[in-house]
Amino acid sequence: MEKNTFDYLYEKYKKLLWRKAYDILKDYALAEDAVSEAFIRVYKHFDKLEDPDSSRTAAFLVTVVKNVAINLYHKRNKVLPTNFDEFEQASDFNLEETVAERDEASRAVRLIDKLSDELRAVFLLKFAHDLPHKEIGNILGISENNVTVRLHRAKKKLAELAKEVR
Amino acid sequence: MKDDFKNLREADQFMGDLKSYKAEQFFKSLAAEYVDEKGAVYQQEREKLEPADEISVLRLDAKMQVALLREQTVKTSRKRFAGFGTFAASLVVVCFVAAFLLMHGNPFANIYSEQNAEPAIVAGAAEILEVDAYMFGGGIEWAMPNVRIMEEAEVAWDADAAVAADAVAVPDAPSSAPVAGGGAWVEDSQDIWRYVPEEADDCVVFVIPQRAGMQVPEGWNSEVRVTMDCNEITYRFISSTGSAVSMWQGEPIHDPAQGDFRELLIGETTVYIGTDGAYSILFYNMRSIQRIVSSGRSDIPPVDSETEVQVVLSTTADYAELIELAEFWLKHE
Repeated sequence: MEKNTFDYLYEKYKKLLWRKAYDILKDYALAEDAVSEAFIRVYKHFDKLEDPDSSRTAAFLVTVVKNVAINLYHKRNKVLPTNFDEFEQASDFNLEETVAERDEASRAVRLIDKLSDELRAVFLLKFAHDLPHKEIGNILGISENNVTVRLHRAKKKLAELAKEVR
Repeated sequence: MKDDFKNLREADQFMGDLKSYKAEQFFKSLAAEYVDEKGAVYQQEREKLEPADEISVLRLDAKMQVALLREQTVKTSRKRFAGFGTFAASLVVVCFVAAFLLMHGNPFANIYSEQNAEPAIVAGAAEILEVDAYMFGGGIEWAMPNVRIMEEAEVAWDADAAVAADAVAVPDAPSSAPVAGGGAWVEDSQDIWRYVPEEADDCVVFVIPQRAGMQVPEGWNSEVRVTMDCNEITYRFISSTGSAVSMWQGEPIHDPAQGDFRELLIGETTVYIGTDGAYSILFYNMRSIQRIVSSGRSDIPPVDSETEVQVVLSTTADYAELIELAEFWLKHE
């Protein structure tokens, strides 16, 4: 990635990513670690960002930082995976807004949000950001095999969810 | 995808074949819609975001810079030690000292607008390198977590802030001749070691903020010393009326007077790079107003009291890579 692009990305998104990481970790220092690690992974493995200002880029960065933060959380607390969307909402919960957002959310959001964080990250990196399995593994810190397994589970789960939603 | 029940009904069809073309298209469409919608929400959120904890963001900046520098050094090491495998490369990286500062005021003019940013930078470097950091010097008014402040007893500093930040004061840390602007300097670098707590980890980074050009006593010297496991590497800064920079590994291997220093102009900033073939030092003035001095070089004018100095140590001795590093750091001014 061009350094200029990286600098721009960092300055633009660092606070958003810090907030996302903090929502999960509730710890300043760990949130900083998560954000810097997330940016380093992006710096090392991702050179396909076309438009740093796009919604897709924002979604990509948030996906990466949440994954890093969740891993840190598990490492620190030695607990099994948790769905961190609850953590995120708890930080600035607003019932009216939440209900309105839920009503307006597209079917895609409602379906994919039902995936666990680890499945969602793999699914989005594959299908929204079109990354090869190896690169997904590098970014998420998991093996290529694990990417394949998670992807299969994500697809299966989504197909099941799609049936239920219908 | 909105209200696209047709697609959803198709989900039934590909349940048995999640790898089919239709299934792939369905998932792509679903994912694309998701990131577009979520991304837009994130963008809105970003714009409305209330200021994050500023100190934490400052520290993040420091961590980021050190992490990037380390990443670049890792790449360099990997290239150089490709034949020796990752262990050798890692060893080199472990021996890498990230960044430390000699300054009068604020080294990162744009990023660190707060006064006394040194602790944040040191904390970031220390955390990244997973070492304890000890700061010496006067005028440190607050401390960050994970940084132990060894401060002269007579120097006023905000004890409450330090306690709140979990800093540890060492009241009988070295005293020395007072210098302009308050504070004091360690005159004998060996003194430093007397004040390292016994419980200190094997890895210790000393960071000694120096106010360039201040009235430091003649012959004053300070030392930045790093120990990694049992392998001791000593980086030494000597400062007298000018600023001489040299490095030792165990014993002097590099004479600043004979050093291979080069002067480069990057943008409007003069950058000096010195290397002894094994380690390198990159230094430049932050505001392009003065040059940095190697005391052994009569052709470089003495450092000015207004000069702000940034120093970066790297294991690379490749000038092309050092220039890249310099360009990178300069962008963060």
